[in-house]
Amino acid sequence: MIEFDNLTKIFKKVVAVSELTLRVDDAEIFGLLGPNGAGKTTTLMMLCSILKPTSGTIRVDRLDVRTEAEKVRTRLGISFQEPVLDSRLTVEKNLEFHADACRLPHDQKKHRIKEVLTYLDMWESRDQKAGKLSGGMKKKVEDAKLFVQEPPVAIFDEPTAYLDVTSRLKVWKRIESLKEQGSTVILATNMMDEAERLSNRLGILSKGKLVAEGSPASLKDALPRGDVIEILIAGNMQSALDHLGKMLDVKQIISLKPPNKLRLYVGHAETNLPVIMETLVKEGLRVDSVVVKEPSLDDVFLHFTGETL
Amino acid sequence: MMNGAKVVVARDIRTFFTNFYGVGFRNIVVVLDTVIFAFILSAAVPSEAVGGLTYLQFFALGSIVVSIFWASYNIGRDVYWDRESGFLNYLMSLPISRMDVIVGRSLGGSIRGILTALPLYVLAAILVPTTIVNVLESIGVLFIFALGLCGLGITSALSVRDETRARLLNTFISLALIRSSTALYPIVAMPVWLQVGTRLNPVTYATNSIRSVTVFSSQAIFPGFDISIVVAFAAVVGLVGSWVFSRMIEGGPAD
Repeated sequence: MIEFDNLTKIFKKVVAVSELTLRVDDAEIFGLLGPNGAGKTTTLMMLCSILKPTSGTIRVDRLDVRTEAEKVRTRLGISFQEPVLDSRLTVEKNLEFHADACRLPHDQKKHRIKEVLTYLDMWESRDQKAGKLSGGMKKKVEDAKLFVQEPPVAIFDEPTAYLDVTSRLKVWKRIESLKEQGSTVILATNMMDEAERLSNRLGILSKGKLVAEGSPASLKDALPRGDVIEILIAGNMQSALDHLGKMLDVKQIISLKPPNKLRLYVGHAETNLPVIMETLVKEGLRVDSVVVKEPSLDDVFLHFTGETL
Repeated sequence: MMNGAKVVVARDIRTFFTNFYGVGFRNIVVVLDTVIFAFILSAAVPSEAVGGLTYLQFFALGSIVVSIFWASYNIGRDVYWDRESGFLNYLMSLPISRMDVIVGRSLGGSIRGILTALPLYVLAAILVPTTIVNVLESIGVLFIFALGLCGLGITSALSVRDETRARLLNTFISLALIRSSTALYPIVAMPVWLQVGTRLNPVTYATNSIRSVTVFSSQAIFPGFDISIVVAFAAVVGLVGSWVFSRMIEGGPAD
């Protein structure tokens, strides 16, 4: 179990993480969702004892990350957002270095490296220098470190950035199998589909603060019930907002980027859409496009933070 | 050795061999320098000026120290790059103690230096009277000196955050220490003002030790003073380097 208690990190005058209190249970995949600069990576760096918290504590299996950092590090592994490989060494040698540092027995090391590289379609590239790999291949090697290590706590920071669709699915499956083997997984991502597919629970970070926490389903339940309508309008937005806000069944309206795009949370799109269209046309506004959809995690994020990912 | 330090050293040795051609080429330049430059000057430099050796012998042994200087001092450049590329963060996330990382980098740099200098001992063995025992003793002294050089390299590399400044500082310190030492020229040939610097320069004492220890002579006197200066240099600068490195690690490079 991982417990964050009032964790704060301040860089000079910038508050990167503010009073984060959170518990991650054993053998669950916990998604940390947030845009760039939300504090995800800083939180993970403190968990790995790379950065010292300004205040607050982190405990991994009741071990304090500050005072028992070495013991904590034997329990965890991190796949960094930007792949960190020794460009002068081959793919295989990079993974061997990681396995040796994590004290994997020699036989197990060889076997796992071969199995993981084969799974990720990288076995043929094992003798290539890491510096010569494409961005996607480097990312796969970065993820492969944890698949070889199989740590009790596996931390993935944007594990599928730069990856093609096939590789993404493979990495997802492998992360799920880590969880099935008993590992606790922390997944920092700003990809909604990834968070929704993998996470048992989610924490939404915005400007260093945890603004919501729960299962994807429970977070969606926090949204106003009903449908979501996105409308792109040409004309004076303010008058549209005034009129639509007065409609009984419109629960929330959010202005999006690009300008003149509105997201409306309504009870039933079928019954409300004709009235909305009529109102907009009456006001002399031109409707360029309309999209009706069910609420997604993106809406959850927007709901809690007021911004889109 | 602690497992963590062993892993760090193994990486330094592996990466050293990835640059095998670079090291080999540098050694060829040193050999050519010795064979051509030192051979020609040998006739012009009197034996008394170079401690009873010929200038060719003097230069060949001095070149070993220059060679190890570049190889070990440059571990600082590697540490700098580890910091800039995020590899240091990665190292710190591994189940390796901070001390293992520091000890590993210093040992790794020293072993790199010895590996670089080994082929030059073959040339030295051809040019000067020596024995296996002399060579082993000489390597021992060089290893201690290399530990100090690693500390110096790490300290200077981590003192600056800008790549160009780091490179300039690196070149300045290397050239200043090598050129103001007795590695390549006899002290009697230097102007008086430079002799002061030469006597304060640890490279001078390392070079003097290597020459005394490597050359076999039945009347040889153990260079205790020179070696103590080398040991003191390695201890002080090695500790400063470790302190600078650990301070950076504890502070966290992202701070």
